[in-house]
Amino acid sequence: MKYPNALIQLIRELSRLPGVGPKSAQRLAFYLFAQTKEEVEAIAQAMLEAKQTLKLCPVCYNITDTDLCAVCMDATRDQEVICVVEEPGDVIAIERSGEFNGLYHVLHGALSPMNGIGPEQIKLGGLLKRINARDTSPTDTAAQLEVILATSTTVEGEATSMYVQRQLEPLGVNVTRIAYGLPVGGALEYADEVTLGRAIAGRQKAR
Amino acid sequence: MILRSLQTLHYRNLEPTRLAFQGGVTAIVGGNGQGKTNVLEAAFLVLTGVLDVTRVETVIRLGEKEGFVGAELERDDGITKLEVGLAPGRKAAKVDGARVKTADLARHASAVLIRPEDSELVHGSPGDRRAFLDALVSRMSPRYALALQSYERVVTQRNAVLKQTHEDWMLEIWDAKLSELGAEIMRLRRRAVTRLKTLSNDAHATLTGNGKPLEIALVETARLDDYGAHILEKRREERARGSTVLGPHRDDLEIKLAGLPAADYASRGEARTIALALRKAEYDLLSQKFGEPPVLLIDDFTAELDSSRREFLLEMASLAPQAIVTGTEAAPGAARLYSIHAGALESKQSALFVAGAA
Ligand SMILES: [Zn+2]
Repeated sequence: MKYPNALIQLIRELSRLPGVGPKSAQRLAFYLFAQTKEEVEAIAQAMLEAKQTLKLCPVCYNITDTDLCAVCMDATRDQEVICVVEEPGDVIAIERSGEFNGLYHVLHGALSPMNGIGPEQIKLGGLLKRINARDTSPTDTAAQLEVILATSTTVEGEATSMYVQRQLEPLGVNVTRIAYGLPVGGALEYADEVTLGRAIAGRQKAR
Repeated sequence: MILRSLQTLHYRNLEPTRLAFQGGVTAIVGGNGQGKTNVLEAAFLVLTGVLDVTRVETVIRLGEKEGFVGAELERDDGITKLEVGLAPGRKAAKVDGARVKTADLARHASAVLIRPEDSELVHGSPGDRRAFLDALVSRMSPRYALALQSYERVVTQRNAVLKQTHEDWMLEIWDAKLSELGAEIMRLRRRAVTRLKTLSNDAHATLTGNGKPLEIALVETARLDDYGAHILEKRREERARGSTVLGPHRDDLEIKLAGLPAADYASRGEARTIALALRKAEYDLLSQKFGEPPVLLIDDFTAELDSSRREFLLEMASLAPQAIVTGTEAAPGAARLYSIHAGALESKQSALFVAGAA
Protein backbone atom coordinates (compact mmCIF):
# COMPACT_ATOMS: atom_id res chain seq x y z
CA MET A 1 0.00 0.00 0.00
CA LYS A 2 1.17 3.52 -0.77
CA TYR A 3 0.62 6.36 1.70
CA PRO A 4 -1.71 9.18 0.57
CA ASN A 5 0.20 12.07 -1.00
CA ALA A 6 -0.55 14.55 1.79
CA LEU A 7 0.90 12.12 4.32
CA ILE A 8 4.01 11.49 2.23
CA GLN A 9 4.49 15.25 1.89
CA LEU A 10 4.12 15.81 5.65
CA ILE A 11 6.59 13.04 6.48
CA ARG A 12 9.05 14.44 3.97
CA GLU A 13 8.86 17.94 5.47
CA LEU A 14 9.16 16.68 9.03
CA SER A 15 12.13 14.49 8.24
CA ARG A 16 14.02 17.60 7.12
CA LEU A 17 14.09 18.76 10.74
CA PRO A 18 17.43 18.22 12.53
CA GLY A 19 17.58 15.03 14.56
CA VAL A 20 14.41 13.67 12.98
CA GLY A 21 14.89 10.53 10.92
CA PRO A 22 12.32 8.97 8.58
CA LYS A 23 10.99 6.79 11.38
CA SER A 24 10.36 9.60 13.87
CA ALA A 25 8.99 11.80 11.05
CA GLN A 26 6.42 9.09 10.42
CA ARG A 27 5.58 8.91 14.11
CA LEU A 28 5.19 12.72 14.28
CA ALA A 29 2.96 12.71 11.19
CA PHE A 30 0.64 10.07 12.71
CA TYR A 31 0.63 12.03 15.97
CA LEU A 32 -0.39 15.23 14.18
CA PHE A 33 -3.13 13.36 12.33
CA ALA A 34 -4.53 12.12 15.63
CA GLN A 35 -4.81 15.67 17.06
CA THR A 36 -7.87 17.92 16.73
CA LYS A 37 -7.87 20.59 14.01
CA GLU A 38 -7.49 23.30 16.70
CA GLU A 39 -4.43 21.65 18.19
CA VAL A 40 -2.73 21.34 14.81
CA GLU A 41 -3.61 24.96 14.03
CA ALA A 42 -2.05 26.02 17.32
CA ILE A 43 1.20 24.25 16.38
CA ALA A 44 1.22 25.73 12.87
CA GLN A 45 0.39 29.17 14.29
CA ALA A 46 3.24 28.94 16.81
CA MET A 47 5.68 28.03 14.06
CA LEU A 48 4.57 30.88 11.80
CA GLU A 49 4.54 33.40 14.62
CA ALA A 50 8.00 32.38 15.74
CA LYS A 51 9.25 32.76 12.20
CA GLN A 52 7.60 36.19 11.84
CA THR A 53 8.62 37.72 15.16
CA LEU A 54 12.04 36.22 15.80
CA LYS A 55 15.23 37.59 14.32
CA LEU A 56 18.91 37.77 15.10
CA CYS A 57 20.12 40.50 17.42
CA PRO A 58 22.16 42.81 15.16
CA VAL A 59 24.86 43.12 17.84
CA CYS A 60 25.40 39.63 19.26
CA TYR A 61 23.44 37.45 16.77
CA ASN A 62 21.44 35.79 19.50
CA ILE A 63 17.79 35.05 18.74
CA THR A 64 15.49 37.88 19.85
CA ASP A 65 11.95 39.20 19.40
CA THR A 66 12.99 42.78 20.13
CA ASP A 67 15.31 45.08 18.16
CA LEU A 68 18.20 44.38 20.50
CA CYS A 69 18.24 41.18 22.55
CA ALA A 70 17.57 41.35 26.28
CA VAL A 71 21.26 40.90 27.13
CA CYS A 72 22.49 43.62 24.80
CA MET A 73 19.78 46.00 26.09
CA ASP A 74 20.66 45.43 29.72
CA ALA A 75 23.05 48.23 30.70
CA THR A 76 23.70 46.67 34.10
CA ARG A 77 25.58 43.78 32.52
CA ASP A 78 29.36 43.86 32.39
CA GLN A 79 30.18 45.53 29.07
CA GLU A 80 33.85 44.54 29.28
CA VAL A 81 33.40 40.79 28.77
CA ILE A 82 32.09 39.03 25.66
CA CYS A 83 31.50 35.30 25.69
CA VAL A 84 31.75 33.65 22.26
CA VAL A 85 29.53 30.58 21.75
CA GLU A 86 28.57 28.35 18.82
CA GLU A 87 24.78 28.24 19.13
CA PRO A 88 21.93 30.29 20.69
CA GLY A 89 21.24 27.31 22.95
CA ASP A 90 24.69 27.79 24.50
CA VAL A 91 23.65 31.29 25.65
CA ILE A 92 20.67 29.81 27.50
CA ALA A 93 22.92 27.19 29.10
CA ILE A 94 25.43 29.77 30.34
CA GLU A 95 22.66 32.12 31.50
CA ARG A 96 21.19 29.26 33.51
CA SER A 97 24.52 28.79 35.29
CA GLY A 98 24.10 32.27 36.77
CA GLU A 99 27.89 32.65 36.73
CA PHE A 100 28.16 35.09 33.87
CA ASN A 101 27.00 38.69 33.72
CA GLY A 102 28.73 39.88 30.56
CA LEU A 103 27.72 40.00 26.89
CA TYR A 104 27.59 37.29 24.24
CA HIS A 105 28.47 36.67 20.65
CA VAL A 106 26.84 33.78 18.79
CA LEU A 107 28.80 32.31 15.86
CA HIS A 108 25.98 30.09 14.58
CA GLY A 109 28.26 27.17 13.89
CA ALA A 110 31.81 25.89 14.09
CA LEU A 111 34.39 25.55 11.35
CA SER A 112 33.98 22.28 9.48
CA PRO A 113 35.75 22.32 6.10
CA MET A 114 34.49 18.80 5.28
CA ASN A 115 30.94 20.18 5.43
CA GLY A 116 31.87 23.35 3.58
CA ILE A 117 31.73 25.53 6.69
CA GLY A 118 34.62 27.97 6.50
CA PRO A 119 35.27 31.35 8.16
CA GLU A 120 32.73 33.04 5.88
CA GLN A 121 29.96 30.74 7.07
CA ILE A 122 30.25 31.63 10.76
CA LYS A 123 29.23 35.02 12.11
CA LEU A 124 32.54 36.35 13.38
CA GLY A 125 32.66 39.57 11.35
CA GLY A 126 30.12 41.18 13.66
CA LEU A 127 32.33 40.54 16.68
CA LEU A 128 35.35 42.14 15.00
CA LYS A 129 33.20 45.16 14.12
CA ARG A 130 31.93 45.35 17.69
CA ILE A 131 35.48 45.40 19.04
CA ASN A 132 36.73 47.85 16.44
CA ALA A 133 33.80 50.14 17.15
CA ARG A 134 34.88 50.37 20.80
CA ASP A 135 38.31 51.56 19.70
CA THR A 136 36.87 54.81 18.34
CA SER A 137 36.01 56.06 21.80
CA PRO A 138 39.08 57.14 23.81
CA THR A 139 37.67 56.06 27.19
CA ASP A 140 36.47 52.72 25.96
CA THR A 141 39.40 50.84 24.46
CA ALA A 142 39.71 47.26 23.34
CA ALA A 143 42.53 46.67 25.80
CA GLN A 144 40.05 46.55 28.66
CA LEU A 145 37.96 43.96 26.92
CA GLU A 146 38.01 40.25 27.72
CA VAL A 147 36.73 37.77 25.16
CA ILE A 148 35.93 34.31 26.57
CA LEU A 149 36.01 31.53 23.99
CA ALA A 150 33.27 29.09 24.96
CA THR A 151 33.04 26.99 21.82
CA SER A 152 32.57 23.24 22.36
CA THR A 153 35.42 20.83 23.05
CA THR A 154 34.91 18.85 19.82
CA VAL A 155 37.77 19.08 17.33
CA GLU A 156 35.66 21.56 15.33
CA GLY A 157 34.96 23.67 18.42
CA GLU A 158 38.66 23.71 19.30
CA ALA A 159 39.69 24.72 15.78
CA THR A 160 37.05 27.46 15.81
CA SER A 161 38.33 28.69 19.15
CA MET A 162 41.84 28.87 17.75
CA TYR A 163 40.62 30.65 14.64
CA VAL A 164 38.74 33.28 16.66
CA GLN A 165 41.75 33.72 18.92
CA ARG A 166 43.96 34.42 15.90
CA GLN A 167 41.49 36.93 14.53
CA LEU A 168 41.31 38.74 17.85
CA GLU A 169 45.03 38.80 18.67
CA PRO A 170 45.90 41.81 16.46
CA LEU A 171 43.11 43.79 18.13
CA GLY A 172 44.89 43.59 21.47
CA VAL A 173 41.96 42.18 23.42
CA ASN A 174 42.42 39.82 26.32
CA VAL A 175 41.37 36.37 25.02
CA THR A 176 40.59 33.47 27.39
CA ARG A 177 39.28 29.93 26.87
CA ILE A 178 36.78 28.29 29.24
CA ALA A 179 38.38 25.70 31.52
CA TYR A 180 37.92 21.98 31.00
CA GLY A 181 36.62 20.49 34.18
CA LEU A 182 35.05 17.56 35.92
CA PRO A 183 31.31 17.20 36.07
CA VAL A 184 30.19 18.35 39.51
CA GLY A 185 28.70 15.70 41.78
CA GLY A 186 30.45 12.83 40.01
CA ALA A 187 32.96 10.50 41.61
CA LEU A 188 36.48 10.96 40.26
CA GLU A 189 36.81 7.30 39.32
CA TYR A 190 33.98 7.56 36.80
CA ALA A 191 35.43 10.51 34.89
CA ASP A 192 36.98 9.49 31.57
CA GLU A 193 40.76 9.88 31.31
CA VAL A 194 40.61 12.75 28.83
CA THR A 195 38.37 14.86 31.05
CA LEU A 196 40.37 13.94 34.11
CA GLY A 197 43.68 14.66 32.37
CA ARG A 198 42.47 18.05 31.21
CA ALA A 199 41.05 18.88 34.61
CA ILE A 200 44.43 18.11 36.19
CA ALA A 201 46.32 20.09 33.53
CA GLY A 202 43.97 23.04 34.11
CA ARG A 203 44.15 22.89 37.91
CA GLN A 204 43.93 26.06 39.96
CA LYS A 205 45.44 27.26 43.21
CA ALA A 206 43.32 26.03 46.09
CA ARG A 207 41.28 28.85 47.55
CA MET B 1 35.25 -12.91 32.97
CA ILE B 2 32.48 -15.13 31.69
CA LEU B 3 29.97 -14.28 28.99
CA ARG B 4 26.70 -15.56 30.46
CA SER B 5 24.35 -14.79 27.61
CA LEU B 6 24.29 -13.29 24.15
CA GLN B 7 21.27 -11.80 22.42
CA THR B 8 21.10 -10.55 18.86
CA LEU B 9 18.45 -8.90 16.73
CA HIS B 10 18.84 -8.34 12.99
CA TYR B 11 22.54 -9.15 13.23
CA ARG B 12 23.59 -10.55 9.85
CA ASN B 13 21.86 -13.89 9.26
CA LEU B 14 21.37 -14.78 12.94
CA GLU B 15 17.87 -15.65 14.07
CA PRO B 16 16.77 -13.52 17.05
CA THR B 17 17.74 -15.59 20.03
CA ARG B 18 19.19 -15.59 23.51
CA LEU B 19 22.14 -17.93 23.93
CA ALA B 20 23.26 -19.06 27.35
CA PHE B 21 26.95 -19.67 27.98
CA GLN B 22 29.06 -20.93 30.83
CA GLY B 23 32.73 -21.23 31.71
CA GLY B 24 35.04 -23.67 29.93
CA VAL B 25 34.84 -24.50 26.25
CA THR B 26 31.61 -23.99 24.31
CA ALA B 27 31.54 -25.49 20.83
CA ILE B 28 29.45 -24.09 17.99
CA VAL B 29 29.23 -26.52 15.13
CA GLY B 30 27.96 -25.85 11.64
CA GLY B 31 28.79 -25.94 7.96
CA ASN B 32 30.24 -23.07 6.00
CA GLY B 33 28.01 -20.03 5.57
CA GLN B 34 25.61 -21.05 8.37
CA GLY B 35 26.58 -18.10 10.58
CA LYS B 36 29.23 -19.47 12.97
CA THR B 37 31.46 -16.45 12.46
CA ASN B 38 28.54 -14.07 12.96
CA VAL B 39 27.95 -15.36 16.49
CA LEU B 40 31.56 -14.69 17.43
CA GLU B 41 31.58 -11.28 15.73
CA ALA B 42 28.44 -10.26 17.61
CA ALA B 43 30.00 -11.39 20.90
CA PHE B 44 33.23 -9.54 20.06
CA LEU B 45 31.31 -6.36 19.23
CA VAL B 46 29.31 -6.25 22.45
CA LEU B 47 32.36 -7.11 24.57
CA THR B 48 34.71 -4.59 22.98
CA GLY B 49 32.72 -1.97 21.04
CA VAL B 50 35.17 -2.48 18.21
CA LEU B 51 33.47 -2.15 14.83
CA ASP B 52 34.33 0.39 12.19
CA VAL B 53 31.36 2.78 11.92
CA THR B 54 31.50 2.52 8.13
CA ARG B 55 30.94 -1.22 8.49
CA VAL B 56 27.88 -0.96 10.75
CA GLU B 57 25.56 -1.09 7.77
CA THR B 58 27.04 -4.38 6.59
CA VAL B 59 26.28 -6.21 9.86
CA ILE B 60 22.61 -5.21 10.03
CA ARG B 61 20.44 -7.88 8.49
CA LEU B 62 19.50 -7.08 4.90
CA GLY B 63 16.20 -5.22 4.69
CA GLU B 64 16.28 -4.10 8.35
CA LYS B 65 17.10 -0.59 9.55
CA GLU B 66 18.46 -1.34 12.98
CA GLY B 67 20.28 -4.13 14.75
CA PHE B 68 21.05 -4.99 18.36
CA VAL B 69 23.48 -7.09 20.34
CA GLY B 70 23.18 -7.59 24.09
CA ALA B 71 25.20 -9.58 26.59
CA GLU B 72 25.40 -10.44 30.25
CA LEU B 73 28.93 -10.61 31.53
CA GLU B 74 29.96 -12.08 34.84
CA ARG B 75 32.99 -10.62 36.60
CA ASP B 76 34.25 -10.80 40.16
CA ASP B 77 32.00 -7.92 41.15
CA GLY B 78 28.80 -9.33 39.67
CA ILE B 79 26.85 -9.35 36.43
CA THR B 80 27.08 -6.45 33.97
CA LYS B 81 24.57 -5.90 31.17
CA LEU B 82 26.13 -4.69 27.93
CA GLU B 83 24.17 -3.50 24.90
CA VAL B 84 25.03 -2.19 21.45
CA GLY B 85 22.42 -0.66 19.16
CA LEU B 86 23.25 -0.41 15.47
CA ALA B 87 21.88 1.85 12.76
CA PRO B 88 23.53 2.81 9.45
CA GLY B 89 26.60 4.92 10.27
CA ARG B 90 25.85 4.84 13.98
CA LYS B 91 26.38 2.64 17.01
CA ALA B 92 25.22 3.32 20.54
CA ALA B 93 26.21 1.46 23.68
CA LYS B 94 24.73 0.95 27.12
CA VAL B 95 26.20 -0.53 30.27
CA ASP B 96 23.62 -1.59 32.86
CA GLY B 97 21.06 0.57 31.11
CA ALA B 98 23.16 3.77 31.14
CA ARG B 99 24.36 5.19 27.84
CA VAL B 100 28.13 5.18 27.34
CA LYS B 101 30.51 5.78 24.46
CA THR B 102 31.05 2.56 22.51
CA ALA B 103 34.74 2.72 23.36
CA ASP B 104 33.77 2.61 27.05
CA LEU B 105 32.51 -0.97 26.66
CA ALA B 106 36.20 -1.88 26.82
CA ARG B 107 36.27 -0.62 30.42
CA HIS B 108 33.82 -3.34 31.41
CA ALA B 109 34.57 -6.25 29.14
CA SER B 110 37.26 -7.80 27.04
CA ALA B 111 37.50 -10.40 24.32
CA VAL B 112 39.98 -11.73 21.80
CA LEU B 113 38.81 -13.05 18.43
CA ILE B 114 41.05 -15.47 16.53
CA ARG B 115 40.07 -16.07 12.92
CA PRO B 116 41.48 -18.11 10.01
CA GLU B 117 41.92 -14.84 8.06
CA ASP B 118 44.32 -13.51 10.68
CA SER B 119 47.32 -14.31 8.49
CA GLU B 120 46.31 -11.24 6.45
CA LEU B 121 47.96 -9.32 9.28
CA VAL B 122 51.26 -10.46 7.84
CA HIS B 123 50.67 -10.38 4.10
CA GLY B 124 48.01 -7.66 4.05
CA SER B 125 48.32 -3.88 3.84
CA PRO B 126 49.71 -1.56 6.53
CA GLY B 127 46.06 -0.59 7.07
CA ASP B 128 45.27 -4.15 8.21
CA ARG B 129 48.08 -4.03 10.75
CA ARG B 130 47.03 -0.58 11.95
CA ALA B 131 43.49 -1.89 12.41
CA PHE B 132 44.88 -4.74 14.54
CA LEU B 133 46.94 -2.33 16.62
CA ASP B 134 44.14 0.25 16.97
CA ALA B 135 41.62 -2.38 18.02
CA LEU B 136 44.06 -3.70 20.62
CA VAL B 137 45.20 -0.38 22.08
CA SER B 138 41.59 0.90 22.11
CA ARG B 139 40.66 -2.01 24.36
CA MET B 140 43.60 -1.30 26.65
CA SER B 141 42.88 2.41 26.84
CA PRO B 142 39.50 4.03 26.13
CA ARG B 143 41.47 7.27 26.05
CA TYR B 144 43.27 5.92 22.98
CA ALA B 145 39.95 5.12 21.31
CA LEU B 146 38.73 8.68 21.89
CA ALA B 147 42.00 10.24 20.74
CA LEU B 148 41.97 8.09 17.61
CA GLN B 149 38.42 9.06 16.76
CA SER B 150 39.20 12.77 17.17
CA TYR B 151 42.48 12.41 15.31
CA GLU B 152 40.78 10.80 12.31
CA ARG B 153 38.27 13.62 12.29
CA VAL B 154 41.02 16.25 12.34
CA VAL B 155 42.75 14.50 9.42
CA THR B 156 39.49 14.53 7.42
CA GLN B 157 38.88 18.22 8.20
CA ARG B 158 42.46 19.11 7.44
CA ASN B 159 42.43 17.22 4.14
CA ALA B 160 39.33 19.21 3.17
CA VAL B 161 41.27 22.43 3.92
CA LEU B 162 44.23 21.19 1.83
CA LYS B 163 41.90 20.64 -1.11
CA GLN B 164 40.00 23.91 -0.66
CA THR B 165 42.49 26.65 0.07
CA HIS B 166 46.14 27.56 -0.05
CA GLU B 167 46.07 29.79 2.99
CA ASP B 168 48.47 28.54 5.65
CA TRP B 169 46.62 29.93 8.63
CA MET B 170 43.58 27.85 7.71
CA LEU B 171 45.73 24.76 8.13
CA GLU B 172 47.40 26.00 11.27
CA ILE B 173 44.18 26.08 13.26
CA TRP B 174 43.95 22.29 12.69
CA ASP B 175 47.67 21.60 13.04
CA ALA B 176 47.72 22.14 16.79
CA LYS B 177 45.09 19.46 17.38
CA LEU B 178 46.68 17.20 14.76
CA SER B 179 50.04 17.17 16.50
CA GLU B 180 48.56 16.99 20.01
CA LEU B 181 46.36 13.98 19.20
CA GLY B 182 48.90 12.41 16.84
CA ALA B 183 51.60 12.53 19.52
CA GLU B 184 49.27 11.04 22.12
CA ILE B 185 48.41 8.16 19.78
CA MET B 186 52.09 7.57 19.03
CA ARG B 187 52.98 7.46 22.73
CA LEU B 188 50.20 5.02 23.59
CA ARG B 189 51.04 2.82 20.60
CA ARG B 190 54.71 2.73 21.56
CA ARG B 191 53.85 1.65 25.08
CA ALA B 192 51.58 -1.13 23.81
CA VAL B 193 54.00 -2.36 21.13
CA THR B 194 56.88 -2.62 23.61
CA ARG B 195 54.84 -5.13 25.61
CA LEU B 196 53.33 -6.79 22.55
CA LYS B 197 56.82 -7.37 21.17
CA THR B 198 58.00 -9.46 24.13
CA LEU B 199 54.77 -11.41 24.44
CA SER B 200 54.48 -12.21 20.71
CA ASN B 201 58.11 -13.25 20.61
CA ASP B 202 57.52 -15.67 23.52
CA ALA B 203 54.37 -17.13 21.95
CA HIS B 204 56.12 -17.51 18.61
CA ALA B 205 59.04 -19.32 20.22
CA THR B 206 56.60 -21.73 21.88
CA LEU B 207 54.75 -22.32 18.61
CA THR B 208 57.87 -22.95 16.55
CA GLY B 209 59.99 -24.67 19.19
CA ASN B 210 62.43 -21.77 19.19
CA GLY B 211 62.53 -21.48 15.40
CA LYS B 212 63.18 -18.25 13.50
CA PRO B 213 62.86 -15.31 15.92
CA LEU B 214 59.88 -12.99 15.47
CA GLU B 215 60.31 -9.27 15.87
CA ILE B 216 57.68 -6.57 15.60
CA ALA B 217 58.32 -2.83 15.53
CA LEU B 218 56.43 0.37 14.84
CA VAL B 219 57.38 2.19 11.67
CA GLU B 220 56.42 5.80 12.35
CA THR B 221 56.07 8.59 9.81
CA ALA B 222 56.04 11.58 12.17
CA ARG B 223 58.81 12.71 14.53
CA LEU B 224 57.28 12.56 17.98
CA ASP B 225 59.61 15.11 19.57
CA ASP B 226 59.06 17.86 17.01
CA TYR B 227 55.79 16.88 15.42
CA GLY B 228 54.76 20.46 14.69
CA ALA B 229 57.96 21.30 12.82
CA HIS B 230 57.74 18.05 10.88
CA ILE B 231 54.26 18.97 9.65
CA LEU B 232 55.57 22.33 8.45
CA GLU B 233 58.39 20.63 6.50
CA LYS B 234 55.78 18.64 4.56
CA ARG B 235 53.64 21.64 3.56
CA ARG B 236 54.61 21.55 -0.09
CA GLU B 237 54.06 17.80 -0.42
CA GLU B 238 50.74 18.04 1.39
CA ARG B 239 49.58 20.80 -0.93
CA ALA B 240 50.54 18.72 -3.95
CA ARG B 241 48.73 15.62 -2.70
CA GLY B 242 45.84 17.36 -1.01
CA SER B 243 46.17 15.15 2.04
CA THR B 244 47.91 14.81 5.41
CA VAL B 245 51.04 12.83 4.59
CA LEU B 246 52.45 11.99 8.00
CA GLY B 247 51.12 10.78 11.31
CA PRO B 248 49.70 7.65 12.96
CA HIS B 249 47.22 7.13 10.11
CA ARG B 250 50.20 6.37 7.86
CA ASP B 251 52.28 4.32 10.29
CA ASP B 252 52.86 0.58 10.04
CA LEU B 253 53.58 -2.30 12.36
CA GLU B 254 56.57 -4.01 10.84
CA ILE B 255 56.86 -7.76 11.31
CA LYS B 256 60.23 -9.44 10.80
CA LEU B 257 61.05 -13.11 10.82
CA ALA B 258 64.74 -13.88 11.36
CA GLY B 259 65.52 -10.29 10.40
CA LEU B 260 63.60 -10.32 7.10
CA PRO B 261 60.29 -8.53 6.43
CA ALA B 262 57.60 -11.17 6.89
CA ALA B 263 55.29 -9.39 4.44
CA ASP B 264 57.72 -10.34 1.65
CA TYR B 265 59.44 -13.46 2.90
CA ALA B 266 57.11 -15.42 5.18
CA SER B 267 55.39 -18.50 3.74
CA ARG B 268 51.64 -18.95 4.24
CA GLY B 269 52.28 -21.32 7.10
CA GLU B 270 54.78 -18.97 8.73
CA ALA B 271 52.30 -16.12 8.37
CA ARG B 272 49.62 -18.13 10.15
CA THR B 273 52.01 -18.93 12.96
CA ILE B 274 52.99 -15.26 13.32
CA ALA B 275 49.34 -14.20 13.35
CA LEU B 276 48.55 -16.77 16.03
CA ALA B 277 51.51 -15.55 18.11
CA LEU B 278 50.19 -11.99 17.83
CA ARG B 279 46.72 -13.10 18.98
CA LYS B 280 48.21 -14.96 21.93
CA ALA B 281 50.17 -11.84 22.82
CA GLU B 282 46.96 -9.81 22.56
CA TYR B 283 45.25 -12.29 24.89
CA ASP B 284 48.09 -12.10 27.42
CA LEU B 285 48.27 -8.32 27.25
CA LEU B 286 44.55 -7.92 27.91
CA SER B 287 44.71 -10.52 30.69
CA GLN B 288 47.39 -8.41 32.39
CA LYS B 289 45.44 -5.21 31.83
CA PHE B 290 42.20 -6.57 33.33
CA GLY B 291 43.70 -8.82 35.94
CA GLU B 292 41.63 -11.64 34.45
CA PRO B 293 41.64 -13.29 31.02
CA PRO B 294 39.31 -11.97 28.30
CA VAL B 295 36.61 -14.11 26.72
CA LEU B 296 38.36 -16.17 24.05
CA LEU B 297 36.58 -16.48 20.70
CA ILE B 298 38.09 -18.90 18.18
CA ASP B 299 36.55 -18.99 14.73
CA ASP B 300 36.69 -22.25 12.79
CA PHE B 301 39.51 -24.16 14.48
CA THR B 302 38.85 -26.91 11.90
CA ALA B 303 40.29 -24.60 9.22
CA GLU B 304 43.65 -24.91 10.96
CA LEU B 305 45.18 -28.00 9.37
CA ASP B 306 48.65 -27.71 10.87
CA SER B 307 48.78 -29.95 13.91
CA SER B 308 51.06 -27.81 16.08
CA ARG B 309 48.97 -24.67 15.51
CA ARG B 310 45.73 -26.56 16.08
CA GLU B 311 47.09 -28.00 19.30
CA PHE B 312 48.20 -24.54 20.40
CA LEU B 313 44.72 -23.14 19.69
CA LEU B 314 42.93 -25.91 21.55
CA GLU B 315 45.30 -25.63 24.47
CA MET B 316 44.63 -21.89 24.67
CA ALA B 317 40.91 -22.72 24.68
CA SER B 318 41.20 -25.38 27.36
CA LEU B 319 43.26 -23.13 29.64
CA ALA B 320 40.95 -20.13 29.22
CA PRO B 321 38.27 -19.50 31.86
CA GLN B 322 35.93 -19.28 28.89
CA ALA B 323 36.37 -20.06 25.21
CA ILE B 324 33.77 -20.19 22.47
CA VAL B 325 35.08 -22.24 19.59
CA THR B 326 33.40 -22.71 16.23
CA GLY B 327 34.16 -25.40 13.68
CA THR B 328 32.68 -27.89 11.26
CA GLU B 329 33.12 -30.35 14.11
CA ALA B 330 32.97 -29.85 17.88
CA ALA B 331 36.07 -28.66 19.69
CA PRO B 332 37.34 -31.47 21.93
CA GLY B 333 36.48 -31.17 25.59
CA ALA B 334 33.54 -28.82 25.04
CA ALA B 335 31.30 -28.55 28.09
CA ARG B 336 28.46 -27.23 25.99
CA LEU B 337 27.52 -27.65 22.37
CA TYR B 338 25.45 -25.61 19.98
CA SER B 339 24.71 -26.45 16.39
CA ILE B 340 24.00 -23.70 13.90
CA HIS B 341 22.06 -23.96 10.69
CA ALA B 342 21.00 -21.00 8.50
CA GLY B 343 21.55 -18.59 11.40
CA ALA B 344 19.49 -20.60 13.88
CA LEU B 345 21.25 -22.02 16.93
CA GLU B 346 20.17 -25.10 18.76
CA SER B 347 21.51 -26.31 22.09
CA LYS B 348 22.88 -29.84 21.95
CA GLN B 349 23.99 -29.81 25.55
CA SER B 350 22.13 -32.94 26.65
CA ALA B 351 23.32 -35.02 23.72
CA LEU B 352 26.91 -34.18 24.54
CA PHE B 353 26.31 -34.84 28.21
CA VAL B 354 25.12 -38.34 27.37
CA ALA B 355 28.05 -38.86 25.02
CA GLY B 356 30.43 -37.59 27.70
CA ALA B 357 28.98 -39.92 30.32
CA ALA B 358 29.19 -42.95 28.10
ZN1 LIG C 1 22.30 40.88 21.49
